[in-house]
Amino acid sequence: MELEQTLIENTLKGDMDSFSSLVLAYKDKIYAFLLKMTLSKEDAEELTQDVFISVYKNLYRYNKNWGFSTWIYKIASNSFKNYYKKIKRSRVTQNILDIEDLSCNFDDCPEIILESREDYLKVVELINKLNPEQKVALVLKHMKGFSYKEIGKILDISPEAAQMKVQRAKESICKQYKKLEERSY
Amino acid sequence: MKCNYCIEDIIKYAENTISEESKAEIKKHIENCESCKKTYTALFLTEKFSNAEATINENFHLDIIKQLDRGRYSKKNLYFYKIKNKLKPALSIAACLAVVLTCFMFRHSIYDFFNSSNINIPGLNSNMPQKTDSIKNFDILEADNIYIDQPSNTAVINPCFGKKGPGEEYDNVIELPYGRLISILGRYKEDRFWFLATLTPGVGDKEPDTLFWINIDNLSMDALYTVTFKDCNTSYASMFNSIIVDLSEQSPETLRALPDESSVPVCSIKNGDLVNVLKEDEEWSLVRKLTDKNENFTSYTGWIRNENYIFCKPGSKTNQGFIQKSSIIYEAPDENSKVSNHFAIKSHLAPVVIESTEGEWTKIAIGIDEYMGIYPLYSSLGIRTDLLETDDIPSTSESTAYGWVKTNELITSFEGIDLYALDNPEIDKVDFTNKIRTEIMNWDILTLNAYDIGLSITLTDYQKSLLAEKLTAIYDIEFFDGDIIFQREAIYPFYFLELKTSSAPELGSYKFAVAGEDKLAIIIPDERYEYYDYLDWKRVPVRFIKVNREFVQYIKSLLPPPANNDKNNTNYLLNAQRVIVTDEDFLGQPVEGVGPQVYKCVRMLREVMGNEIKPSYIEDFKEDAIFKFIFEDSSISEIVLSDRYIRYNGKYYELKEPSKTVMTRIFIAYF
Repeated sequence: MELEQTLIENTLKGDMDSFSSLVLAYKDKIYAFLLKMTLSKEDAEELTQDVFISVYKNLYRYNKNWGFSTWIYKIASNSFKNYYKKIKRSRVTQNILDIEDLSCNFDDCPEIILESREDYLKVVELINKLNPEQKVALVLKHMKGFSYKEIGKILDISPEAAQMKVQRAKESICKQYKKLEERSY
Repeated sequence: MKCNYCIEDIIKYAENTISEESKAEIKKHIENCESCKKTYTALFLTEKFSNAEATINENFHLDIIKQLDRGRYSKKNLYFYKIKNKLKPALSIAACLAVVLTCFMFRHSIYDFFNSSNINIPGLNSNMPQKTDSIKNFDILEADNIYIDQPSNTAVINPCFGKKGPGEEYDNVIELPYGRLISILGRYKEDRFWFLATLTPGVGDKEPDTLFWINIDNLSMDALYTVTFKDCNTSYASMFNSIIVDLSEQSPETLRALPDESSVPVCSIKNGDLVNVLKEDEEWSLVRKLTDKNENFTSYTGWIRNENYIFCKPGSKTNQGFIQKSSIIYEAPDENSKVSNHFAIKSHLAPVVIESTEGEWTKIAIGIDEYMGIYPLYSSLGIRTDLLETDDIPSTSESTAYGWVKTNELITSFEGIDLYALDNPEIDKVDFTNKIRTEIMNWDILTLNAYDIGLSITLTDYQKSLLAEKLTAIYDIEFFDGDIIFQREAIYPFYFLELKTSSAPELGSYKFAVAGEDKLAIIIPDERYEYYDYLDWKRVPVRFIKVNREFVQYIKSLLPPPANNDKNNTNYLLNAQRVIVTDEDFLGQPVEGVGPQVYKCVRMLREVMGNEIKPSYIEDFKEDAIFKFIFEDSSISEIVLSDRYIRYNGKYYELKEPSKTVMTRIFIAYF
């Protein structure tokens, strides 16, 4: 954390190498987050660029009482919400095949889960249908190290509301998944 | 086994937030309970997805640096950025002084402004009569370089300054305190994080204040969504789950522009109004009212004290509600009266104002959506509404319409309501049959393919009308939330009907594949959903229909299929009852498939089969994947893939794609 603070301070003194190190440290995490949100490689790449450009432009406003990662995910989540409104308007269908770029390890899969690959895609589609805030809250909760308090900060809501969003998202996925399974042919 | 566990229990188990004792019990239960097993599978896979990793190109950080303004934090600018935050109080005083001074200097222009209805935005209103004197105070940069696609009211969530141009480096125009309600007029074309906005005026105060630019980081994003009569999403509608209560003379009946009693009122509000709580602070909340008939509000979003709203339960008396697409709206409280044609509902739900209730009937009116509050701002700012890119701005001819609906059909609380069912209403099978038949009659180009045997015909008008006549009933409809793979669903010889219209070539085509003696896999073009009242792009699509057998028999008679008993032809494999696929690297354990899975394997493999190659040319045939087709008489036929070749029936063929790609194509999505 101290190193991060130094990198930020150096960037604010005009040292571009320090900013480059900050980008290097976060680029894959932010990209993975946005890929999960958009399910489109191209859009996730473009949004990741926007996020880091915005981070740079607004770095002087960064308040060190906030965790840097919380701040950067807040910017990423805002970019996604903005993007979501755009695609919602244009009703672009999303390319679920881009999830091939998300490496996922099924080695620890419990025995009771059989058709993991096929079921996985079904669940991804259900996650994709959540409203943007639920989706952000759900994914951030599972990513290492985010508390409801931090998710609340990212989404501008109370920790309780963040917890509720995650809970509702999970319930909705489970219910719809069961319906899908009952219908599957 | 009786299931005593609810979803919450399984969630707690998956999150590992229960005692060891309960954990063991639930684990045992999940193994035996199909329903809980599914819940757990969904949760497990959700966690997998959320934790998945991805890598962006390795030089990304170097590419980003190239795009940045290196001088932004140079020594010269650093001082400014460092003291910027500390300067805020001083800047406010300076801004006040500047305002006083400017007011004095431009007192004549200001007088003109308040006595005119137009404010001129350079560039946007070149066709409007210009009052050059009043431009000076509103000389906002880039105001003509905006997309006007999201008119809405929202609140400032980080105290900041409204800017003269779309960037932090521009001059401050106005100080914006936490919570201040502003009206978004457009989004900067070059940088979508910047919005052109104005302070939302108070009720009755039609003249907007200064224009300014604001960054998206400083805005509440929730408030940017809106719910309209024309396009109301069920999940957004369900967020209007609170009801205004306990308003009295002490708590005036208004929403405020700030979380402060003395701030300007932006919207009048009554006990029983439905609101969506956007942000809840310690004492005040930012809420959005559902709809009303009063067009004089400047905003439907505003601040209210926390004690003035509660969760809306079924039976609570409300001033607004939602009607469903299926609801019939009458002109009088009588089923024999005329059906009103003023309520054309395009989405599954539409917000309405409740006028009065008389027993089982409720009088409703079309409400005005939130855009209406902002609409007058555009005209008073001189923005021509015909330039707006949004189709959601209501036209002035849409005056309030009234109608009667059965009280029990009106939704006022979403508690206990199945939103999924609302989005996916029952389909009227008779109507559906008639409509599909009419489409077959009216659309002029109908081709029939039999892909497995390589035949194709275009139906004559006579054949087309005969085919339409043969469709007499759709008995059953299956929905499926995903793409359909016709190669997987079609039975031999892969009959595929495509219906197009030459009068509107931009429309998609209807696609049907024969998936059984009385079953069709079907794709209805999105553009035609409006033709069917119950279809909608938001609902789970119709994917299979069960029809009368004569329809399929007629298709067969048009292209009769030859017998499929030649073992040298790959079509013969379609007769297999099962397929067992072994590819240790790709699949781990062998995978078994039946029916459509057999079809998918056969057709995908045939697509990648190239020219025959003499065995003597084959070097090192390493078996990557084996497809073992098992027939009713227990005989077996094999297709084997190596990295470059494919072996079938003792013969070798070129493999057109790498075996890994073939396996991915077969096993991706639905196997």
